[in-house]
Amino acid sequence: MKCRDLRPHLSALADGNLEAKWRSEVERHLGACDGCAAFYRQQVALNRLFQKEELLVEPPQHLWQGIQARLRHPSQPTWRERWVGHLPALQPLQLRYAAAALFVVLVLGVFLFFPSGERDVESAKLLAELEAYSLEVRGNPFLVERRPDQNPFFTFEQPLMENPFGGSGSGP
Amino acid sequence: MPDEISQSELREIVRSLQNGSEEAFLKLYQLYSKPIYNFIWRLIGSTEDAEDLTQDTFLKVYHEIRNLRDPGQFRFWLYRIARNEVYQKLRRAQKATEVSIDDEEVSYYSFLADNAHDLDPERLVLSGEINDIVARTLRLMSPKYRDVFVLAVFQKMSYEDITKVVGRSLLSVKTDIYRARLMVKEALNEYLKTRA
Repeated sequence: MKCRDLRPHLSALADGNLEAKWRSEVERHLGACDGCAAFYRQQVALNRLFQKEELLVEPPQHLWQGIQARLRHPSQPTWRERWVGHLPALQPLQLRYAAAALFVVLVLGVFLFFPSGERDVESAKLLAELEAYSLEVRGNPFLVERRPDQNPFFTFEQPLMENPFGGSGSGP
Repeated sequence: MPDEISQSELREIVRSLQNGSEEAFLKLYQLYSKPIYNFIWRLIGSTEDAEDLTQDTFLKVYHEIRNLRDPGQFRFWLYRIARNEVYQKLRRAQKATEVSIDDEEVSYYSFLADNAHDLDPERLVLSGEINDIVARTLRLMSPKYRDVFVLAVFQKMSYEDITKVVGRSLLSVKTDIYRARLMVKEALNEYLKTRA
């Protein structure tokens, strides 16, 4: 067996978990291969290091009180737990796809429901009305009486501006 | 399993809890809170999260213990709950870091050449630095390597028992522990090089 194939068994041997069927072959290899023997020694040393009792952290005292408190007064779920918690968790890549799809749908929606041709016609009509109104006012600065339907900004009920020169007619 | 309790005693305690004994719940907490807290802490790397998730784990035990068919399986069930809590949390926070390790990766096999300059961790000062290195390396590992490594090395759990916790085959567990060991060893080698 090659070293590469044997190393997982060495790792298991260091953990005391090597199956009996591999033991003799692994031990024979260990006796003949310095590299694997060094690897094995390192794994055993790593285990000794990481299994030192002082590396184990004591859970804080308040943990048990916290558990008891939550048993006595189970908290209401937060809005996030209530709503988002039921949704499937999305990975970042899935979120990117979802965002891209949403963007495409929005763009398509704008162009499908608001065709640019119609919008241009509406704009042109409004501009023409404003232009006509503007010309009318400029042409007769003293008479602002107009047909109400020509003035998009005034209502029918709005009183006409008085003529400062008196009379009511068609200007000076 | 904690040394001070036999399998039959554990079954009794679990049955008592299934019958509603608060005392049994406290006993189980006293027996397993430390290993579970450390297991979670190693997986998630944050003491605050470890505290929350340890609480969540034991609360889930309390609420669902009646559904446990075989009290003899309690320990594996407990670790599985803890592991699931951790990965749910990681998924929620979108912190899960998947580092794919392909068998054909050059760095992987170049490490196998074992040019290590006699790493002897026993001679290293047992300091926070090593803990930090291991914590960083664990965070970089794929979860499937991380949990089996923590169970085997830090929790001294047998490979057979690990298969029951993670629900994978013995061969898969064995291979993943070995790969995780390589990553940790490589990180420690780098640390030694920078110290030299």
